[in-house]
Amino acid sequence: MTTPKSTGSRPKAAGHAKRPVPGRSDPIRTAARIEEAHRPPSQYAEPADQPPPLDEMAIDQAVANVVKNADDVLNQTVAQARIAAQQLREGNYNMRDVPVDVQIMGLRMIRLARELSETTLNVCEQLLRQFTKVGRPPVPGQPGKVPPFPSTKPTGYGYSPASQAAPPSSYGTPQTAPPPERTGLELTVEFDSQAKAIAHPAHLAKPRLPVTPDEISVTPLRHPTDKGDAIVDVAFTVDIGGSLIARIAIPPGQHPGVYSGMVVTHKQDVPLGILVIEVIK
Amino acid sequence: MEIRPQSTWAAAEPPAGSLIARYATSTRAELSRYLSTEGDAPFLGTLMADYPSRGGKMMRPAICIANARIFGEGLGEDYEPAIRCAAAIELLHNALLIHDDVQDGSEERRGRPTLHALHGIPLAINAGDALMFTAFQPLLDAVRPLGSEIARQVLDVTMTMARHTAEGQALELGWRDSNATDLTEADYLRMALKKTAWMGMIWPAQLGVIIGSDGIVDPERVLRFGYFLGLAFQIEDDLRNLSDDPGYGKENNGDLLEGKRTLMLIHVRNACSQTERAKLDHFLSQRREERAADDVLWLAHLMETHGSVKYGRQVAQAMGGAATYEFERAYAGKPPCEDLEFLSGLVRWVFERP
Repeated sequence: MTTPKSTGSRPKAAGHAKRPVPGRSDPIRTAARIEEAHRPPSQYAEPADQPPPLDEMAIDQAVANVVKNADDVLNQTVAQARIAAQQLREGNYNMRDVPVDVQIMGLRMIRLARELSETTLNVCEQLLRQFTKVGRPPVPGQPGKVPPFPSTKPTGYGYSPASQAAPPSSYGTPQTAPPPERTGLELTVEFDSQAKAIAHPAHLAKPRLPVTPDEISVTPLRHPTDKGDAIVDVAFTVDIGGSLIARIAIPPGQHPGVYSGMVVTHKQDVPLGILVIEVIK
Repeated sequence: MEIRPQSTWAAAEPPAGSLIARYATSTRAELSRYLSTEGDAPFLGTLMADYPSRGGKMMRPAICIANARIFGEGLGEDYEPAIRCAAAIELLHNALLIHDDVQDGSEERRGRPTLHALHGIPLAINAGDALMFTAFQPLLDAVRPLGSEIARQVLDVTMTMARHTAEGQALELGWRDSNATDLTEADYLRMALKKTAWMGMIWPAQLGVIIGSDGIVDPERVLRFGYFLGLAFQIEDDLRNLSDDPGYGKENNGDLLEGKRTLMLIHVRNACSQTERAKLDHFLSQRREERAADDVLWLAHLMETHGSVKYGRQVAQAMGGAATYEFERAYAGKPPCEDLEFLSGLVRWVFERP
C-alpha cells in the first residue's frame, strides 16, 4: 500500500473528514419485503389511546433485532445443552470419552477376562470332580488313585495328538499311561575327607510321618566282611531345593571296600532304605 | 454453489416421481412394515396406524434421506439405514402429534377427528406411547450394521432432540396454564427452537448426516440451517392460523382461542395501549371455554391494526433469509444434485406450502 503524496496546492483541512455513522453494523438477513396481508375491513374502531404506528425503518430494525436475538438464543441453548450433557456424564463411565481403538481393546479385555473366568471355573469344576472320585485319602508315602487331570495343552493345528496326556473330558479314559511317579526321597551323598570314595545311587522311601533331617540317621556303615572299621560320622541335611543330603566323613586310612548301613528314623520301625558307599584305594 | 430450488412440489400432493414423492413412498413402505405387527393388538394396532395412514407432508423423512445422500455421495435412494431412520422419524412425529392433540384439546387432525376424540384420552395416550417406543425399532435396525460409533452418535442426537422437544412443549403448556404474559421475543424463539425446529428440522437432518457420512461429519454442521428453517416454519404456521385459510385440518384463529403464546401475541401486547392490554390480559386469564368468539375476533383485529401480523410476516421472511444463508454454509462444496435442490427449496416451501 502506498501513501498518496500531497500536491501542496490544496489548502490543509482544519480536521479529518469523517464518514457518517452507519445506521447499523450487523447484517440484516431479511430475505424480502413482503406485501401486507389483505384482511377484510374491520368492524372495530381505532382505540382512542392508540400509540403511533412504527414506521418502515423501525420495523426493519426490529426484525433485524429478532434475527440477532434468534442467533443468541441458539448459541445460548447449545451452550446450555453442552453443559448439561457434561454434567450428566460426570461421575459416570461414558463411552464417548473413550477413543474407538481403546474401546475395542476394552471389549477384547472384557472377552479375555470372561474366558479366563470360565477357565478358572472349569478348573474348579475339574478339581471337585477329582475329589469326588477319591474314595478315601491316599496312604502317606503312597500314590493315591486319583484320576488323571485333563490336559490343558491345545489340540489344534501344530500340536500332536500324542502329546495329550488325557482327553479334554474329565470323564474320559487316559489314552496313554501316566509317567511313573517318583515316590521316594532322592539322597545325595557328599564326602568331607580327602579319602577317595563314591556313593552308589540310593532311593529312600518317604517317611510315613514328617521328619526333620536331624531325626534321620544311619546305622554304622560296615564292610561286608568287617575288614575295615565302621564309618559312623554321617550327618543328614537338606539343601535349598529340599533334597536330602548325607554328609560322610571317612577317616584317613580307611580300608578300601564297600560299606553299607540302614537309613532309619525313630518315628517308624521300617527303615527308609540302605546307604551304600565304596571307599577307593 | 448454484442450486436451483425445487418448487414444483408446493401443491397439495407432491407430483408423482418427484424426489419428495419417491422418498415418501419408501418411508411409508417401511412404516407399514413396522406397524403391520401391531395390527392384531386389540385397542392398539388400529390406533397406532391411524395418524400415519392419514397422510402428511413427509418432509421430515425426506430431509433425513436427502442429507444422508448428500453427505454419503454415491448412496442410492434405497439405502436402508437412511430409510429406516426416516421411518423412525415419522413414527416419533406421529406419536408426538397424538400427545399434542390431547394436551391442546384439539378436535381435528388432518381433516378428521383427533385420535382421543375418536377413542378417548387413555387409549390415545397409550397408542402414542406405543408409537414412540416402536420408533426405536427402525432406528436400531438402521444403526446395527453401521457399528457402535454410529449408534452412539445417533442415540446422542436423538436424546438431545427428545430433551429439547419436551422442554419446548413444557414451555408452551406452562406459559398457557400459568397465564404468562411478560414473555419476550427471545422466550418465544427459544420455545420454537426446542418445540418445533429440533424435532422437525434439526434432528432429521442430523440423522441423515450421521448415517450418510458414516459418522465422519459433525452433525452440528446442519444445526443452524435447521434452526432458522424451523423458526420460519413455526412463525408462518402461527400466521396461517390467523388467516382465513389456516391450512388443512386446522381451525381459524384456533391459536387465539387457546391463548397460544405466539410472536404476534407478544408483539401486540407490547404495542397496544394500556386499555387494550388490560382487556388482552383478561382474555388470556380466561379458560378456553370461557373465551367469547367476539373477543377472539377483537384480538385478531388488534394484531392487524398494531402491525403484529405484518411484523410476524417480516420476521418469518427474515428467518427464511437466514436459513438460506445457513444453507449455503452447511452444504458448501457439495456438488449440485436433486437432494440439494430439495433442501434449498424448503425455504420457499415454508411460505408456499398449501
